[in-house]
Amino acid sequence: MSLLMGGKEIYIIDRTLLNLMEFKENLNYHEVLLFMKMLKKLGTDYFEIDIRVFSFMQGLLPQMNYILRIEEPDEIDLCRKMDVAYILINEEYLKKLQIEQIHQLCQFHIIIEITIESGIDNLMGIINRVTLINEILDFDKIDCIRIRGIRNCYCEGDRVNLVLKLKESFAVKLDVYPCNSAYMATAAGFDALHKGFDSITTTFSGRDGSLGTAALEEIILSLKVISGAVVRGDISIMALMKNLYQNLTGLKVGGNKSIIGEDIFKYESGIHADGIEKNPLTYEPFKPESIGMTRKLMLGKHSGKNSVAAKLRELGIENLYSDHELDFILKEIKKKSILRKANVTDEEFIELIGILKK
Amino acid sequence: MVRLVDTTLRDGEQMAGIELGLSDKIEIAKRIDSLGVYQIEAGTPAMGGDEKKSIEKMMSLGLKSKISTWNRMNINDIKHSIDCRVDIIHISVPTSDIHIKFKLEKDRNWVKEQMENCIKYTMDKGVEVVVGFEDASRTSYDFLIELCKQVASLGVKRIRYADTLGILHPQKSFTTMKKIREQVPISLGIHVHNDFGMAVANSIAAVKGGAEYVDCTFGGVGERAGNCNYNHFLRAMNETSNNEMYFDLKKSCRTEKEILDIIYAKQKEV
Repeated sequence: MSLLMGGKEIYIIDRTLLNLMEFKENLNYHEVLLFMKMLKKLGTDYFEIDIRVFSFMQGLLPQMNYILRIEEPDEIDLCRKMDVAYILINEEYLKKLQIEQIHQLCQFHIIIEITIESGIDNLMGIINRVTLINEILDFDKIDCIRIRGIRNCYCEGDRVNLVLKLKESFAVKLDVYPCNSAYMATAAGFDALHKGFDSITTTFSGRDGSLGTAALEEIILSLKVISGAVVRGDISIMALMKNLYQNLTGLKVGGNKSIIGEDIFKYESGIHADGIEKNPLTYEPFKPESIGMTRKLMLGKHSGKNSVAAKLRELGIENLYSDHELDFILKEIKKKSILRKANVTDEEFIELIGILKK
Repeated sequence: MVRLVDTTLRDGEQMAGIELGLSDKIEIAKRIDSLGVYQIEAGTPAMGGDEKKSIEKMMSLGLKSKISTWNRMNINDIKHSIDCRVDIIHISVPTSDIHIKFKLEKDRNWVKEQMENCIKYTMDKGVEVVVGFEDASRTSYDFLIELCKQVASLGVKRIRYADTLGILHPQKSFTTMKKIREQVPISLGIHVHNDFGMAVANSIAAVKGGAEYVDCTFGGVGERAGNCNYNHFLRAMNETSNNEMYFDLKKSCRTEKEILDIIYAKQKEV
């Protein structure tokens, strides 16, 4: 358990490895192994895998917890051979199993996945579906019900009611596996955990199939910063993980991607530069160093005189410039940045102040 | 009824590396206007130069969207906006103790007094005022209500709750909007950042709690991890409303592409 929120243990199931299989042809085994270890170090409690991941990894690393997603009957046998303790079965697949196959399942810890298709979750619909599952498989055999596809937050009690009802009726743990079709997966997961769910399913960067899910890094940081959760994982490796993830997938993480975007701690506007100079807490929700990043003052159209003074300090150049000269420098910065539609680099700034020859 | 306030040209442009010239801003404003957006936050006239000229030019175009400008809580900033003859003057009031103590180096009483002076000055000029509470999500609830009541008593019709650091979460967004609505007769706008990936959800929750105005930017550009992404918000509104289509996404997706092409055009060449 990597997270403790208000005294309650919260578990993270991560399915990034499954998603990496999309890039199987180009994956480097050792890099995947390293990334997996980093996922564990960051706070992953369980790795959701399937037969493809198992084949790629040529077995399973010790001291990791796995949940094997079962999609074919012969995979149940494989679980036994692999010594996997946890299996995950979709509700629809469960209904298709023979009685003897269901008996075979009972030697494992079982997670049943229920998929919600609609944007509007139907509370009674979910409870009815869970009741039907209970007719196939006793709930004392089921460790956890995963609700897949939650894409919204419920601020008026619906979700609390659902969780209470399920827990009271079936004495089962609940996992939320949000869907990002409405761009609210992280929030939906965050909300569900605050309303009684016991674990969350994530991926690094939130990439998951065509619609995406809750981003692991967003969940961990939001629970830590917003909710004051105790995070046992090492969040300082997030920036490194982003780089490795990009190497593995060949995909570029967006510059302003929450938490791990490379531009999120760049600041330019005079107001922000002034605030951050006085106290970074004014405009930063958490310290960049805490996730292995650094802040960077940029110069451009929105810079003010304070920004120029701060940049001189940052570069170790004594500020011998008059107000008039600072105005000149600022005008030139603005002109140049608008012309190029990009920030003025430190080199260009040094060249610019060189004109004034101090 | 949700009214969209597009802040691509103000908070969006504040993102490090987005540097728009006069003609860029005009082209972007025309495209936003063509979508029927209620309000365009056009920029900060106190910056002077091309920024102020672009807003003056925008006002001469007779756009259907209302044009507003962002101002610090001082008369000099507001004078620049009045020069531009904009429809709405937005006065940003830092409200959290962290901002008041460390950024302004003042106290709450000073904030209340300065805010009142600025509101009275602007309203005397006959311009609509919207007051934005900066860093509202880290502001004590009682102080926020006190400010809302003060603002309402001065005749201001709308406030904007700014989640400046992106630390809001949906339940708080919903509850706060609902409570303010219950206690103060004033319209509410929501302005969020995406630091933890919850900007869209926080905006949706605010609407459900009673916010009528939602700030967005095209491409989700903005400080740090950006603001609430315009098209993502529309998509979420559609998905959370029994699939009743509130907004036509086809046109706004085309517009987003055109706007981002303008923003990043020369950067791509470099």
